[in-house]
Amino acid sequence: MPWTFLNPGLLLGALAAGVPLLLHLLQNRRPRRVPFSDLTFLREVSAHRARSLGIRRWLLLLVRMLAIVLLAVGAARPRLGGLAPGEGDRASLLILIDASASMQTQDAEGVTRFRHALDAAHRLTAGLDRRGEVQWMLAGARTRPVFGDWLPAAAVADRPPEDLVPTDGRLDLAAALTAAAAAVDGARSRPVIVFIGDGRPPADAPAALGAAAAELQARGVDTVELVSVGAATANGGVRELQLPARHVRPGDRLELAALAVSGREDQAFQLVLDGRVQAEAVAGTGVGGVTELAFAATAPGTGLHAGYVRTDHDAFEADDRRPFLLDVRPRLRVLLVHGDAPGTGGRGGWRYLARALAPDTSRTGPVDLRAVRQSEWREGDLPDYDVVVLADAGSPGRARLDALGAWLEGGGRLWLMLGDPADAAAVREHLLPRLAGVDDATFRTLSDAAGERWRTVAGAHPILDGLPPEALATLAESRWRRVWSLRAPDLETVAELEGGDPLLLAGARGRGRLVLQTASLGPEASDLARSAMALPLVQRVAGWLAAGRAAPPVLEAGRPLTWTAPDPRALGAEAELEPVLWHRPAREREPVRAYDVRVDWQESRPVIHGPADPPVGHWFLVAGGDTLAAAVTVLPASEVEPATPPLEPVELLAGTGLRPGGSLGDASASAVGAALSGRDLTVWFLLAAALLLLWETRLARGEG
Amino acid sequence: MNAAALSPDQVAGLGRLDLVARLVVEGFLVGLHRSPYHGFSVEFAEYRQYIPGEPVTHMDWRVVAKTDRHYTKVFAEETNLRATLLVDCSASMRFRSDDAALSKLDYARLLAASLSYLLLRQNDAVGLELFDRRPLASVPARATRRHLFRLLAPLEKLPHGEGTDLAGMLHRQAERLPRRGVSVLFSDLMTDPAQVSAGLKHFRHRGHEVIVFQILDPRELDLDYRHDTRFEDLEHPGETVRLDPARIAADYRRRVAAWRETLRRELRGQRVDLVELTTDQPFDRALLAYLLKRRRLG
Repeated sequence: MPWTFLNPGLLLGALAAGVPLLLHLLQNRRPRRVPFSDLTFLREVSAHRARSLGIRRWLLLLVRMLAIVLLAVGAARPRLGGLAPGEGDRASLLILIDASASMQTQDAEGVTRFRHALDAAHRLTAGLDRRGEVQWMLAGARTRPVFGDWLPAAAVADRPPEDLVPTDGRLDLAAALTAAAAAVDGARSRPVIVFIGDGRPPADAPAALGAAAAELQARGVDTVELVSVGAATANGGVRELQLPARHVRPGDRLELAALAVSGREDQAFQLVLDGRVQAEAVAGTGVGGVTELAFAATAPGTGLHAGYVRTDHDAFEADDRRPFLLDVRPRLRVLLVHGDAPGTGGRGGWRYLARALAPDTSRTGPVDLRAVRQSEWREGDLPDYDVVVLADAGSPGRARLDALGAWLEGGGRLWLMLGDPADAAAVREHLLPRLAGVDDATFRTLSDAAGERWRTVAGAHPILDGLPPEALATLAESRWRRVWSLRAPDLETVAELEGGDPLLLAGARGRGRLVLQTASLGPEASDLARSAMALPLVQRVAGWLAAGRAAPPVLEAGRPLTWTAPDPRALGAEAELEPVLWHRPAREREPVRAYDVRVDWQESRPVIHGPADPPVGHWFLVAGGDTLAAAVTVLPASEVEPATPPLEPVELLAGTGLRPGGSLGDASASAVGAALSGRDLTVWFLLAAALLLLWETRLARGEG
Repeated sequence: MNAAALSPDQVAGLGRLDLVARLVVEGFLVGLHRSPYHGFSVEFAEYRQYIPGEPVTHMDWRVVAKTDRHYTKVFAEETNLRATLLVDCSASMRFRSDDAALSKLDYARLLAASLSYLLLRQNDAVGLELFDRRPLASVPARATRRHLFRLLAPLEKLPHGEGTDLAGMLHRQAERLPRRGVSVLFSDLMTDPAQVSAGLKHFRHRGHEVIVFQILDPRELDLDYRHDTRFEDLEHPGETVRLDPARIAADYRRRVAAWRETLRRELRGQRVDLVELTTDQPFDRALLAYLLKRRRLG
């Protein structure tokens, strides 16, 4: 524990301890000679105390020297320990308060961890020298300072802020450390940084943490004091929710999967849709278990439906109701762009695909299909469709290719069915690299006229999931003769040919989805079109591609609420009506509330900006009585734990390169002042010196 | 008690012993006239005119009634007492601390001279014996005024005393004194209290009344020295003790106090009056102690 002195120059006074030593040595060398009447008593005393007197003489010397040293040290105003490197009026204290969702957890008395953290922060502030300065920061998914600037400790200690609340977000420790580093620049002295939280590990990537910690270390801060608040609490809640992977139409069987944690034995969870309980499931695991629950219901009518998966209310309320929005549409809108120019013949595989997608031309089927030549479609048409199919196409031109790529990256759904190579070079050099990330591809015709069979690779993929074995067997009977041989590292192979060439690949491209089919459905390429599985497979591919296409985004609570509306036309038409953002909270007892909203247009797409710390719940952008867009904010999965025992503080900073301090303990009032400013030992040193001098007097008189 | 009494500091610079003795005694007596002790050991001699301001205690009211004049009675001293002053002149009596005006021997010398003056003034016979480990000077007792100078002569030129044998000398002096009287011993009594008691018992056995003036230097009582000191024995030259007085003072004081208490007890047992004096005290205490003793003797 380091010693510091407010007046270190006065330590030189300790050199005066040499004076009694000098006097002692001089006196010892030349005793004064005094005639005396009778030595009888002196001899008696001398004989009696000769040894003790010798010891006492040296003891007296020691006492005198020590008293002088203690006086000098006391005058230098010593302090033992202390985290604040500056003197009292220059000490700076930066308190990072964990404002993540888990800090809402209540103890047996109903006091939240966040309240305990605020109390600890207040004690820390009050423990600082009143002339010192202090800054508080709330660290959630983003970190924001509580005060506009560093404030005198006295002001904060006397009037602590009252209106602080935790967020529903997770702790972004990297952001907190970065914000702390920025605040260090404005402090009068290198501040003591204290983090107060419940010890849950941060969800940050190690690299981000390391970079943020490096910013602090660059400013001379290599220690963060950690204060843990809260106790372990059993918790039940919903960690994740899996909406249907394929397009949902009214009356469809609706299947949802929830990842639930149990706070007690046989905890029940309910699926609530449009305010009514649709299904219930019980987690069979014990306390602390994590279970995947399956809910089954019937899809409601067309429209946007709000729902929850909920469980009983407990000490951590934020994860007891996990909201979702379900977009139910009767028909998929599919734009089929084909490369079949008049007179080309032979490349008509797209026709089989179109027929499989929309066998019913009555406009009441599940797919609303529009087929156009690749030279006829416009980029502006793309937002009108859930799925775009590019079949038997060459390169549609650089501009269109760029527009299609941007649309895909921004959330579009593209089905790329490669047919005969009318312009193989365009497919190889432009189409595949730009849209599928495939750099090398060759078209080949199999030597075996019978062709190669279909081989299922990922039977659990949503495109094939749920198919009966006989259906898969039927698919396996299909034969393929003209195929593009390629490798697509970013896509998952759902099916391949017996020879190993991939046949059906699926995956994400940016925020969009892509299905790459390496062979056409035309009779020259395959006999699948004549198979009973042609229509189901095509419908499934389209359904998987369209799933969630127009569904409201699921966003992380606690982060600034921003999303891009899928339908710019509706928003554009209603923009002048000053839309309002309504929040329907997931918590039962909280009221619906309106928030200010701002809509930016970026690249012809409306970007909606809501509150910076959105709580969990449903969000509706409403104007003129119409809902223009919707979103749902959910608790980060990292905040939903069966129990949240306080961790060892060192774990919080693991991998950051920062050292956890250990001086504050639980930030009890008695320990804080001394830990921050050091224990002022001036009085004790002076008192010890006084006692020694008193003893010296007694020793000198021979009384001690 | 007596504002007119001279202190040792005041008389230390005065040269002639007879003058000092007279100043001490006259000053003592002036104070005594204002005290309740006035008039003892004296008897009526004559009248003298009353001086305004004098106490009216001895006013002769019969004369006032007859003559309307104020006269007071003057008392004449009566004596049939023989006093022998025994002065210990051993080397230890030569001790004088830094702050003291007189050594113990000087104090004893002045006190003996003053007492001689007082006794002769009362027509008592006064003798003088000086000794250390052996007799140094002896003046037989006489009651004449001129006898004072014979007494003061050896006191003026005190010999350089050596070690003491107080007990032996007390026995020896007790044997030498011819008839009963008052023996006044001036000494620091720096020896075994039992031996002192035995010697004084001898005096008592011979029918002497004894009064002992124990004269000590204040430093001998409190050992108030600050620094590391080598003490040299006055009675045994060459013998030294090196001490830090401050550290042993408490123990020393306890031992001295115990020794003095033993002395008091022993002398009380012999019905010997012990007057404890230090060299910084005025002489009147000693003189008064003697007069009280004299009064008891009639």
